[in-house]
Amino acid sequence: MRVNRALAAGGLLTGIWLALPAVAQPMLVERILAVVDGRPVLLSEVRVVEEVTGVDRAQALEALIDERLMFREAARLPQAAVSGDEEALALQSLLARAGQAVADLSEGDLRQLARRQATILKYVEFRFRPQVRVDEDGAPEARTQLAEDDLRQRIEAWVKELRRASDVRYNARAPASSVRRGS
Amino acid sequence: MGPLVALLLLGPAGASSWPSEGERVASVVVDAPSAEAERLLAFVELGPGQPYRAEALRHAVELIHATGEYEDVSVEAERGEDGLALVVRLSRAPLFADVVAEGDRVLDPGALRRLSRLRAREPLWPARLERAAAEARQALVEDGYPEAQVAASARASAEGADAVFRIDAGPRAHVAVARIAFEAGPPALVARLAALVAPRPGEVYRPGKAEEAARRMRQELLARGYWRAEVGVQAAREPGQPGVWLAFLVDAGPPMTLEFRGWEPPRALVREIAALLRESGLQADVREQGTERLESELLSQGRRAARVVAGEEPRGAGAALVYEVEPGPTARVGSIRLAGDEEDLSAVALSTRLGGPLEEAVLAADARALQRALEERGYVDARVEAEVPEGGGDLPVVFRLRPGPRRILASVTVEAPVPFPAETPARELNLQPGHPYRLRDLARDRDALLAAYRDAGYPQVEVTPEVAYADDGAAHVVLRTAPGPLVRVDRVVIAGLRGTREEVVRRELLVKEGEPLGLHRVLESQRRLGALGIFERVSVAEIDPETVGKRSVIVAAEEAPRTTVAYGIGYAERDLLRGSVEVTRRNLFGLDRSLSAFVRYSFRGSRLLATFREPWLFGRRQEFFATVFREEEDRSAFDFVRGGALVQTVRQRGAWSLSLRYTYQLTDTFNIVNPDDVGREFATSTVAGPSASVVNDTRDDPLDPHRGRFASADVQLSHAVLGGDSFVKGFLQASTYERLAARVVLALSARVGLARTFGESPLFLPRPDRFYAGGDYSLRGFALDTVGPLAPGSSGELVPVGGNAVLLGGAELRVDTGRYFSLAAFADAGNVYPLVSDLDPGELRYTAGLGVRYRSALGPLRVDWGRKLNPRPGESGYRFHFALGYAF
Repeated sequence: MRVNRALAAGGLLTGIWLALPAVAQPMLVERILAVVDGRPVLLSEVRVVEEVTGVDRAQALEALIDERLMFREAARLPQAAVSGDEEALALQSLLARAGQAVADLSEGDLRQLARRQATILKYVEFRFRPQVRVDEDGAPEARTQLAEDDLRQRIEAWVKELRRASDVRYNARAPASSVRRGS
Repeated sequence: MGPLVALLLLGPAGASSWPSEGERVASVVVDAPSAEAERLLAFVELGPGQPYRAEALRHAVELIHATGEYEDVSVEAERGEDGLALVVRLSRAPLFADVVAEGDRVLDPGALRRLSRLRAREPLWPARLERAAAEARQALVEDGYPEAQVAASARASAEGADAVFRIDAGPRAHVAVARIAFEAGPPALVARLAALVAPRPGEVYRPGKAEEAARRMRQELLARGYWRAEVGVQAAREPGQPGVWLAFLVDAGPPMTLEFRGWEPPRALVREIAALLRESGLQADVREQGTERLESELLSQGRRAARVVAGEEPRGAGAALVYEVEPGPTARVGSIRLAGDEEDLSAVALSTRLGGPLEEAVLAADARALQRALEERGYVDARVEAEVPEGGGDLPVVFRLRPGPRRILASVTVEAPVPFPAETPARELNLQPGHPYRLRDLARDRDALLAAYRDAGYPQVEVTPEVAYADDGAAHVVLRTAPGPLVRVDRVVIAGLRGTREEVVRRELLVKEGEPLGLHRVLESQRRLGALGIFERVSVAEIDPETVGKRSVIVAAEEAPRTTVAYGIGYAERDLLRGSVEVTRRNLFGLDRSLSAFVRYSFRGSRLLATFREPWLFGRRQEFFATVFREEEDRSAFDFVRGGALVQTVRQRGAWSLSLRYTYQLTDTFNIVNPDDVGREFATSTVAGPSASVVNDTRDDPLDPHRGRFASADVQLSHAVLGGDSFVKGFLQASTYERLAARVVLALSARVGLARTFGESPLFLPRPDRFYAGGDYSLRGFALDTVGPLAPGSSGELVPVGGNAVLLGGAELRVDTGRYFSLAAFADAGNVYPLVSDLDPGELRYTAGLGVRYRSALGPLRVDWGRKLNPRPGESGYRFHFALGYAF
């Protein structure tokens, strides 16, 4: 009986809630979601990653923390410096990949993201690609796949090491995504 | 029911979407007390009526977070008819205020604070607290609590947050049994090691103490020739029980000796290698070190083919470390010749000596010296090699010179798309057309250009030198400069201040908002803030190093304790032993002002001073001091009490400083030994008037100078119109310090003091204000103040009365004889004259002598023996002095 009463009350309250007129309420537009080695990772930055990659907010936050750590390391290497042309190319590529999903993001945010990613890619090519070794046997496609797997493993190990050496403090679990996606 | 009610109370989300770029901002509010809100609002570059920019909001949150005061910063937006209403909400960071100890009382809060090294206002993030707890636990384990558990957490308090340490110490371990496991060890040695056991049965078990005992046991064994000895510690204990069974496991190895075969090394070298083995044992690197020392010794004797092999051989019950040496023939320098020498390089000092041992390292160094000499003359591709035939005996040495073409610099051009920064001081290039072209100059000029552009706000500047040679060999140099983007200072965030006002920090900063972010400005700002002395730590760093074009800077400071107490102890012939205490209250009103009280007391007098210091006068960097004082002193011929006040302002510029003062002081002189004289003097005198000092100090160390100079000029005026006696007094002094050799310093000094009275005042200055000479800081063949005019005292003895003029000069040769001691030979000249008109260099008194100095923590302790070179009848011949600090 107690269960039934609870269900009835729940249904009633839910009905009332749904019947309430939609009123404007404050919206959280910025927040410190985490602090990586003293530098904050902000909600608006995570939102950019979320929009571009299509992952949920929690995943986007983790991805951004990894990216922040990788970029900081990569930016110290002069060979990983990105020229204006390379940045423009990276932005084009990013826009092509993301399509309409990033329509309401500012160009500055996207440009920054593109530059960071291009820097990290150059660093990876400079530091890890030459270390990749695969057997000469086998089909070229298989060799390429093996090489990519090897490279990915090296990058994962690098990120793991960066995480271990860093101090990441989460302020709160990332608030749920407020972004509505088109089909 | 609960979650449903909560859901109801929250209500459905409005159909609001993320603010668009350019949307009108209606208001911006920081949800904090008004002063704080106003300060933080300055970081938000959005205002009512302006278009919304996500970037500006993001930057504001970063800047607010950079202050270090907040754990979280969030911004809410609400859409209204007028546009977006933005509210910045803050969540305070748990900034460390105090330590609270809970649980077992085995560590007090002071000890916990010291162990955890928590600093005032440091954020108590979980990782930091975890580290602090681990450090406290480790300390407890070391103190005999092996099962100690410590947890640390932050608890909000009125001052910020307290670090709460919860301690569960567990039982304290005591040594139940301690034994030495040394199988077949000689009984006497076992007994010796047993005496070193620690902690002993019944004592608290401290692991560090046991490790230290094991280390000392090993040292004992090494000293007795057991060079392979190892001593381990084993501790066993039942969980929850206090008794510890402690065992020292000794593996002594065989007793060993040191032997050399094939060559007998010098005794000093044998002692050195044996000492190494006794100190560190027979480890691979020690054995190798012995080999290297032997080879090095052989090479220095010209035995170029020497070979040393180390091995071990059994010797009865023990073993021997044997260095097998094949010394090879001795080679000497039979002749020295420079081949292929088109230039005269005779000025190059070579270390290779005719008839001396032939050393490869010396030959290589000489070859390098010759190559450098050629490079200096423009032979940029010069190569020099030393050629010597194999074997021993007297061998010819040939330095083969391959100078290559000589390059004269025809032109040097700096190509830069951005003109050389105007605000950067012009630096003359080392590369000069018409002069020989040198790579060293090129490297220096490149570095100078890089530094100049970095200082002007171009951190990514690159300078690429390009050199082209014309057919006639002339060099044309282009320094191609790519400055990269100019980086300006966006915002300057000041963090960590508690009592200090922001303006105190900002006025010291050379990093200004909107101006280029130069490296020199950052470093100089940091140096200036550190020099204030009111901060324990200061750092100036970029907040957003990824941003192109402009970057914000955070100045993080940690304030030092406000009250400081300094103690001093000293000795001088005038005061004998003296002690002093100075208490200073710094950073008054948060404006870097200070108030200090100084008391000095000695067997001959006392001095009290109270000084207020204002570092910034009339909006500029100008120190101002206001001082009141009282002093009394017993001199040999009179006593005096003096009181007064002075105001002073000091301006410093590099090694120069200028002081302007106004003094009012009353001096009462009494107990005068020759009172007949008093009628002509000031028994009670008043000084009222201005004075000025100029000082130039370039000494490398004011306490123990080795180079540089010190010069000062001081002029004081007192006048009846201002309420004082009328006189003018000047004092000039200069000293220079020159390092003649690595351990030899020559110090020279000259001092001149001149004074005259005028108006109604008596002819002589008041007694305490006159010049005196003789003693530990002037003419060292004399007792204190005994040079110059003397007058018979009441019991007939001669007492110094001083004079209106003094001349003093001195030379001292200081020779360091080790880390702590130095010897000195000195000569002093000078005299005191009743009046300026009595000055007569022919009347100078001369002394010379020897001294010993000891560099102590208090400064150089000095013993000098001075002998009069032109003694007068009735004077003693010499004098000993003991003093702190140098005579000049």
